[in-house]
Amino acid sequence: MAEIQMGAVESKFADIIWENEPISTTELTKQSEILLGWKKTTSYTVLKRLCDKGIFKTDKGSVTSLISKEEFYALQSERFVEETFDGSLPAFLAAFTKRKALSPDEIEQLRRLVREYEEE
Amino acid sequence: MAKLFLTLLNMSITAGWIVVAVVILRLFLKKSPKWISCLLWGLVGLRLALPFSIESIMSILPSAKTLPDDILNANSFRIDSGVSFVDSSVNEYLGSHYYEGVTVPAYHGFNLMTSLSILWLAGIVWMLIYALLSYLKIKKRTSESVKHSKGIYLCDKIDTPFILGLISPKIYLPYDMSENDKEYVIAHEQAHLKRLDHIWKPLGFALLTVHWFNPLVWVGYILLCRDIELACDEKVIKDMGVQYKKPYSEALINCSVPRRMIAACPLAFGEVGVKGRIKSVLSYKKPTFWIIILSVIAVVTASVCLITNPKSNPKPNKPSSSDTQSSVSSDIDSSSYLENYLNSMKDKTDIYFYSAPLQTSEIYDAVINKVYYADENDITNLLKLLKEQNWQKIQLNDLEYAYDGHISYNQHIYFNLTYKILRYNDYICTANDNAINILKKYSKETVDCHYAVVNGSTGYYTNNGDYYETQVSYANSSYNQEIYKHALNSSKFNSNPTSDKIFPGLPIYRIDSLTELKEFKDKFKDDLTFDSGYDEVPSFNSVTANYDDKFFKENALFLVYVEATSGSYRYNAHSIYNDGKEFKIAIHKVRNPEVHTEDMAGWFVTVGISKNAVKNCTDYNAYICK
Repeated sequence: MAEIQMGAVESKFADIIWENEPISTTELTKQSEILLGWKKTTSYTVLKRLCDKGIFKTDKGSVTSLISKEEFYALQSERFVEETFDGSLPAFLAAFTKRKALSPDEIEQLRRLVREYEEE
Repeated sequence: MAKLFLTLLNMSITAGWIVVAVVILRLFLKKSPKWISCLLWGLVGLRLALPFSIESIMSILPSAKTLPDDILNANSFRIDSGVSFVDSSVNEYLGSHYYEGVTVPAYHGFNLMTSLSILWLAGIVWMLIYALLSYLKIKKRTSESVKHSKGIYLCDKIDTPFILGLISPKIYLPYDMSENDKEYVIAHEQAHLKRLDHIWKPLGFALLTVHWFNPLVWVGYILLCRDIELACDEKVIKDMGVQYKKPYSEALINCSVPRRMIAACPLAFGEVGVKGRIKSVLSYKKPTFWIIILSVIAVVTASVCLITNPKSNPKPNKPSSSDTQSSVSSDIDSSSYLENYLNSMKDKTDIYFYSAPLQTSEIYDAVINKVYYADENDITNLLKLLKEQNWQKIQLNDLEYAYDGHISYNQHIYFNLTYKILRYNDYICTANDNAINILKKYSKETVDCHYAVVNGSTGYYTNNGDYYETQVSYANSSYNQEIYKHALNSSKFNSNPTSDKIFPGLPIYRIDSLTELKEFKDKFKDDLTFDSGYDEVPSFNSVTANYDDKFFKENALFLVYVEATSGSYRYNAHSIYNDGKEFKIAIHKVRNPEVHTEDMAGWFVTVGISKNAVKNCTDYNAYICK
């Protein structure tokens, strides 16, 4: 579960499912064609791959997700911080702010997050 | 097939010279725009693709036909590379190892070429399979891509930018490229498209596929790919402005990946010699007017010198092809063709008439040194001639076909003796009665025709040059030995005719008419068998079926009886000695298997020969020879 990866292009496809689920495979292939210009075979190949990875599942021609989008990206961020900053969130923030200063809005968002976390 | 391969081989060798020339020229053109180099490779491509060219004295190519056509059918090998040092050393080596007409049979070169051409085809198939597989692999990967803008797609399964597609080419970029780099990469790839590189490169690869065996062509292709990239880099800088040299080079570095093998279809951005490209980009200067002019002159001169063929020397001692070609119009009249042909040989010496046998395999064994082949153009014209006369063409096997009584194989034509044959040095041509009259006009001496008759028989020449043909049929072993008593050489037999020590002879008979043949069969009908064969050997009746009155009008039939201790042995006529007085047939064993049957068997060896040849003979004999 912890090792799930998705390429940039795959995630665009995953977005279609997340935004429209539950979605029939036919509708999915149609949307993929419109948004990504993909043939049916391509859509099916990628869908199968994502299902094998455990992110989505197909059931009687309908596709649903096993992990929500937020959950998935949360896992990705966790892994990233784990691997790059030895799990230290402050270290990550320091690196993040080094190149880009935080806007007042962003600072306010962070403050709110920490407050909510402390209250739990 | 062999002929096609030979042409291709010559083309490839010629193109090889041009590659060398272009490589040298490129060194001098370092300051010129790179698209000039691409043009030069275009010249190489033309030479590789087109088998024909125009001749000009400006050509610096040593030779257009290094391997002459008669490698296919000559009795010797020789090359004509145009470089005298190479020619003399190679031809000397070949000459000392292959003696003309002796160790090299006439079709050896043809067989060699045929095997080589099969190898060549295998190579092409291999190259095509490789190209197809790599194309499919990339196509699969790029199916999962996202559109960026018109004609440009992003894909996260590729690590270098490239172009895919011939008719509607698409640019594919790796997903994780910075926006900055993307700008330059897109400019570069679009330059490729504007220059139509997505067509030239596969075309070059197609030529490489055909000429895969020539290492110089590989060199040319690799350099072509490199020059294409450099030309594209130049075009981008030229269009954008020299101030972009640095960021462009940085984009190049960012995109550089480890060198891969030459891929046919994708025009990869970072694929070829990154270091060289960066150097070239950073040192790019807008070329001055004079440099452009000089480069164009260099290319035009190069084109003329390299694209045209050297003027070929007319070969002496043969009617040049232009003569016979011009005399042959689309409606060929056999006698006018012959007349023109002979006109061109008027000053040559004697023309002889010769007859030749039908079966080609025997021809090689017995006649190969006597009957020569016609010149290639003559063959074509002769075959046209035969077609004009509505002769049926029948396929015998892969290589031999018969024209209603003729057999042609690999540029040799042998004719049935209902049509008399002309032989002059290297030429054979057909002649019907009409043409023979024309010939008589031109020939200084004629020799009477000999006449062999039966279809499917084998023929040989005697020491006199008489033609005879021989067949073998089954006779059965003789019970009462009558056959020995009445033979022409019976006086030489002792009472124990099968004992080799005293007289190694075989009974021989001469038959001069159909009546005599019937009488012969009657005489020995109780002793021998005339109407049945043995295994693959036919019966006497079947082999003599065509000996009719017409045959006996001009020919005599000699008959030799051979008795053997096993039915597994086979015999055939080996040779005939005829000096006008003495006529001897030598018979030899042609099959002697280790495992053989223990039955007695007897065979007829029949020999048909022109009566003329034996008209004064008095002494007849036949014997077994080793």
